[in-house]
Amino acid sequence: MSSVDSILSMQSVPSFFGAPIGDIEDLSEEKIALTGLFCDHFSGGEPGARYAARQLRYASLPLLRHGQNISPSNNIIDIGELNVFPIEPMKTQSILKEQSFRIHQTGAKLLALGGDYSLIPALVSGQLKARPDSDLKIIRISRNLDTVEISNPQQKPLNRSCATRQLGDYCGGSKSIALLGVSDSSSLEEYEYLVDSFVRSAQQLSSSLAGLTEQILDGLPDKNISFYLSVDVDVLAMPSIRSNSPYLGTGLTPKQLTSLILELGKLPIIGADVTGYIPDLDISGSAASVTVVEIIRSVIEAMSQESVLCR
Amino acid sequence: MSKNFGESTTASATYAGFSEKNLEEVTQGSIVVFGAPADSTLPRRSGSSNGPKAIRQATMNALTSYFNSPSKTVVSLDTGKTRRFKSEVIGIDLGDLADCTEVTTETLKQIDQLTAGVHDQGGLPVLLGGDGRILEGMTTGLQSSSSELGLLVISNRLDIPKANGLTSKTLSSLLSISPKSDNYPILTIGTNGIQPHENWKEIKKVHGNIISAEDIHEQGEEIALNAIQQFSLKNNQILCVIDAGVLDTGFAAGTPGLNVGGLTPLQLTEILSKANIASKLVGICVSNVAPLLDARGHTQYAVAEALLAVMGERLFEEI
Repeated sequence: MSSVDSILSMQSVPSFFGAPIGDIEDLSEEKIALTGLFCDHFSGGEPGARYAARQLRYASLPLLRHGQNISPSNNIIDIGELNVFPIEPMKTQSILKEQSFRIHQTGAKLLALGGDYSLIPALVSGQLKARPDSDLKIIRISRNLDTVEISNPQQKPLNRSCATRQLGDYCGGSKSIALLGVSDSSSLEEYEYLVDSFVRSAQQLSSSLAGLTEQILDGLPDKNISFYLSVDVDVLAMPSIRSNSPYLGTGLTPKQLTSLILELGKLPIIGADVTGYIPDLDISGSAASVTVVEIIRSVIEAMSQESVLCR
Repeated sequence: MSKNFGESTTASATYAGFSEKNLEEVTQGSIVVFGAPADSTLPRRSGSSNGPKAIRQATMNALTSYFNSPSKTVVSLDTGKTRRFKSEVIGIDLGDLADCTEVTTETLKQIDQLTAGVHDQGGLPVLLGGDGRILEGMTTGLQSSSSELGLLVISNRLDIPKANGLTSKTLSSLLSISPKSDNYPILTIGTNGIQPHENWKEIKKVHGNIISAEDIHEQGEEIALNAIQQFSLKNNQILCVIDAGVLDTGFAAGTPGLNVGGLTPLQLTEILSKANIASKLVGICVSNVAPLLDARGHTQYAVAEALLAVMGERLFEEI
């Protein structure tokens, strides 16, 4: 058979779940802008999370092709990677805030994938700038508290260990934070910062999710409230996948995590991120990717849901 | 006999942030860590020469919550208890034995002398391996400078492996003291797989006890804890061996041998943290961690946590 006669099978440029590739001018209300963060940490932990977005784009395509039930909502757009300066934290912080601001100005919701959690406060800062009237609360799903006291933020602007505290400061204090799935052993001083917050360990969540969203809403103001959902895959119990966090023996199963995220979909979620996944550490090269893709799919579903508890 | 190994050790990041010092600086009550990066030889898989370094690194990660806390205190959300890492504990990291690539008679002799030296000066020797064969050097060293000791072995095997012309040895043969009828010199926890019948017989002959991994899977951790309690009543000096091979390969693949049906990391740490034998320890030997064989890196974390668990009250206090 000559090459002319052969049937050419072309694969499209990889995007998250095969979503249309667009730019900021393609965004509008009701759209969810999926973006990658090609940037590792500026503090502790293992490097490699910058490759997560690329790997997740590749990993989501075969799942679509093989007809698995992961079809995402039709309101997603892949807007590529956000610009970063990988060795200049101050410039990275500034440009991430500006890009987040511009994306949220369009009315779209931003879902940042990959990269390190230390980058997230900059994105939330941009979101708050674009929507100054909204009362934004944070729901963080992670094994770690990351509420170390911020010391010299000018010298260390992007530091994972104090990122949740930064988010709290942006959103009105520790009461604005709900932390879910945390490790059973947490630093006393970090925990004291969260004494007024809603905190649940992985073990507590494993037993039941009933009434969780109502409990999170308890004590919060009634009007104009919205949530930012931050998911770190370090919350998963071993031997699910390896992430940028030491193994401590306990955590959620992937099924428990996706159920938790879908439960949180009852709340109005206007921004989200999924961090902590390092493709290079994936034992088979695909098992972890598929798990994280499924987690992201549930985040998209949660962001797309009509909030039944919106007051 | 020279016991100065200060010149012949090399160190990287220290264990649990301990000070890097020489043998002469060991004082009464100190915890003294040293590594023997001896690799395993065929037919076992190689890679355990990276064990000491990986255990040190994993221990620092396992202690992150403590080190993030200015008061070195963590709180448990589930139990409400608070626990402090005792910064005032005298911890010394001697580094690793230099020129130690495989287990040889010379390696065993060095471990023997170093162990005896630490013990003589009132320290608790903690040996990071390295192939499981290093245990022989530690038992020899301890027995040369102390009276009777009990051997608590957390391993899937009932022997120490052969290496470099050194033949395999049963655990009971490591004890030079002839057992009396009411003694309880050996307890093995987590035995799994096909073990030579001779090894079973030898342990029973010296009135030892064997709790298999299957016993623990079927009857729970209580069976191991009860056995350790009985063992502890009979022995005032305990050498604890944590062989990473005791872990199931599905949870911790980074070991020279494979173990299907072994303990889970949670079972291991639960048993050791509840065993409460810290005050009776005269030595700890950790072996068979081959980090490069575990792409997920769980093996060294599991072992690091098990080691912290067995040291219990020596390193931590409930507040």
